[in-house]
Amino acid sequence: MNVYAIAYKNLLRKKIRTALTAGGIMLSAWVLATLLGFNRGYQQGLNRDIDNMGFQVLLTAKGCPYEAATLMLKGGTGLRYMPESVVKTVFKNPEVEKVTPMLMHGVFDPNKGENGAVAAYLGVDSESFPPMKPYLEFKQGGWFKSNTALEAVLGYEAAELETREAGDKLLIPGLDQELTVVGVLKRSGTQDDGTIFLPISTVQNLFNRKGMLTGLGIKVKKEADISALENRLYDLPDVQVVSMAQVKTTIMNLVNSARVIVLGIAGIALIIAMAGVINTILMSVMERYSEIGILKSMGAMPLDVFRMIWMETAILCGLGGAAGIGLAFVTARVSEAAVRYFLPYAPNGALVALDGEITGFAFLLILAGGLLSGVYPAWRAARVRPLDAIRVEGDQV
Amino acid sequence: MNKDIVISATDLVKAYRRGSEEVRAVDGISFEAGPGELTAIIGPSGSGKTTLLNMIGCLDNPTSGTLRVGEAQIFGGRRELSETELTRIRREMFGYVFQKFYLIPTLTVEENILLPGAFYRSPSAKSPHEVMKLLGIERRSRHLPGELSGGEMQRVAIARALINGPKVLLADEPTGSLDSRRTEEIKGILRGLAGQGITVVMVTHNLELARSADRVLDIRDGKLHG
Amino acid sequence: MDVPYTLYDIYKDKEIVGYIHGVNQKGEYGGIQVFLALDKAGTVKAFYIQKLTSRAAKDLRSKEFGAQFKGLALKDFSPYDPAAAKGAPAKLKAPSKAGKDFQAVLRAVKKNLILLDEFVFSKKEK
Repeated sequence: MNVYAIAYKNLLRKKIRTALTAGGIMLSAWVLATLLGFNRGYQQGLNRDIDNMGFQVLLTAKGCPYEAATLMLKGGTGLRYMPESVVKTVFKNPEVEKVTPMLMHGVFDPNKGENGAVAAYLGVDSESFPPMKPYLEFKQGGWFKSNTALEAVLGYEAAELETREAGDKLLIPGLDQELTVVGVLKRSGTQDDGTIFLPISTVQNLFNRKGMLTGLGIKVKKEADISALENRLYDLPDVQVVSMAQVKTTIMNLVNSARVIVLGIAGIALIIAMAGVINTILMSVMERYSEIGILKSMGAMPLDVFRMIWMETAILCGLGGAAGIGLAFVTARVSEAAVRYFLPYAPNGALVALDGEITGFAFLLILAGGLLSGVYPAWRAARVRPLDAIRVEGDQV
Repeated sequence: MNKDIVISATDLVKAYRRGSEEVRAVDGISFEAGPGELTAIIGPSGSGKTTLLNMIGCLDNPTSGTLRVGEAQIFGGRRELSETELTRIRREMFGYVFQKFYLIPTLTVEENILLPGAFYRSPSAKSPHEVMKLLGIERRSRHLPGELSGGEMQRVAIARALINGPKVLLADEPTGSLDSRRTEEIKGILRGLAGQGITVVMVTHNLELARSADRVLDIRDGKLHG
Repeated sequence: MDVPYTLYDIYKDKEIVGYIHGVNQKGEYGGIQVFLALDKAGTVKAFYIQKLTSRAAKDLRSKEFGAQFKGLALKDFSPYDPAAAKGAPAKLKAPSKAGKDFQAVLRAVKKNLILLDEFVFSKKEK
């Protein structure tokens, strides 16, 4: 026999009461684990979406910042140009790992819809662009062979719209220039799905934009200080810097504000559950007053009694916490669906990311709360005087 | 102290204050008990029997007087013993049996008997099978208290009191909840334990049980009568 | 796999007087979107190319070209074999430079009429 076994068996005396108290702890553990998992999952998803852009900083020619931001997230046409020499200037910065020049050009197509529309073509460097977008995979074919080839690669949705396959022809409106489709990409879930890629020099030549760029994608070294690089780039004339780090920070700040409120609610749920624990264990101590006195008469020291009662709260919170975390795993996908329904923007991928660190932390927090709750009832039990308890014979004191 | 004396109480007094009045529950009682002696404390209700037993068992402090148990000067020494020291003495020297058994309902017979061992394991501890056999309850070892008769429950309580091999067994109304047949059984058990060298002190209303004792202390109004 | 189709009903007051439906078709240089408006008898009342990439785009999207389809119905396209590009209604004339896109338009029209028959006119007969 040991105090742990005694504690466990004591909890079995009133099974329904124990189950209800553990149930309350389970619910608060579930809320806590799910919220912590959501916080991590959302951040990971956001990082993933932004990292899938391939570069962390985009330089564009100075113009309307809202249009520049639109370029980042929704795709569109740049209105102004930067000289190609900016590539060398940017590459001198030690934080820069890779750069890729881009030239976006739009052509008015009168045969799109009632009033015509712009057909956009993105000129990219055949060597530096593909490594920046490693997640892009081909459904058919591959990238163009050189920067001057009259070839095109279509994003998944662009190919669907134009009913193009590798080997088909593409005609640039107004120029009467034929291109050959050499590749069709698989669906990537990014704006690249709707893009028609051409070799950058081809775009420069076709549209008379030699030596000009509309954008420069910059991939920063892993340990580099992005803010320091951005500050230097701000000094470059006639360019503007759009930083995904800033976009990410803005969105995360919004999410964090909401998170503080929601974690506050989870904290309240935890406190209520712990109040239930104190009440249950204290009631149990009062019911066993005489019995505790007898234990002391048998030679149980106050510390023994304290440990025994404290162990009951630990077991209760341990079981409830474990069940709650298990429930969080089981309902993670349902929770995700609910979040996607209510949030205006949710990144792709798992939104509730439960890993060992999160679940371990949630479990330890519940356990710590439980142990704290158990201190008072355990202290009351430890203080019981054998004689008083025996005299009382089960009455409340 | 004479090594034949296990318990030596001298002028034990337990007084309570009720306003300006002092009430003496035990008023100057002295007695001795040796190994293997069965002492019965009898008297009307409120005479101070249980108060005396509690002081002997270190569950209550006397207002004055001395008490030695074995080699230990418990009360009346140079200093008052702390609750921790008293607990240590209790678990090394004494086993307790109460009228209401106080068995834990979710523990089996064997587990209830082993309960004191969860807090203290005496060098002279006995095995649970030994004490169960002594008390004739070895076939009930896996049963819960709710499945036992009153007599069986009291035997389990006695077995629990014996597990750490105490020198003294204190019993407060051990047959108070039992019928006459079970009372006889318990009487035989207590007599048998005394025969094995354990000093037994019991409080009882049952004169038949008291008559089986080696010594009877008749308490009236806190004093020894006769 | 579910493929969504969108069919528009044309109302005059509360009565359906016709239907509009569009289809996509592979053209020589891009996708062609052809819309037809039919009356309750299944006769073409209007023809419209919403999107087209072709050297003959201007001609294929002209009113004159579209007017050729008025009054035609599914039965008129029954002899037309899109694979062999033969058997189209004789009155339909291809603009010069139209090339393969003219055949693509005819194929789109036949496809459109078949689908409308499937969604609307055959059901009515039943």
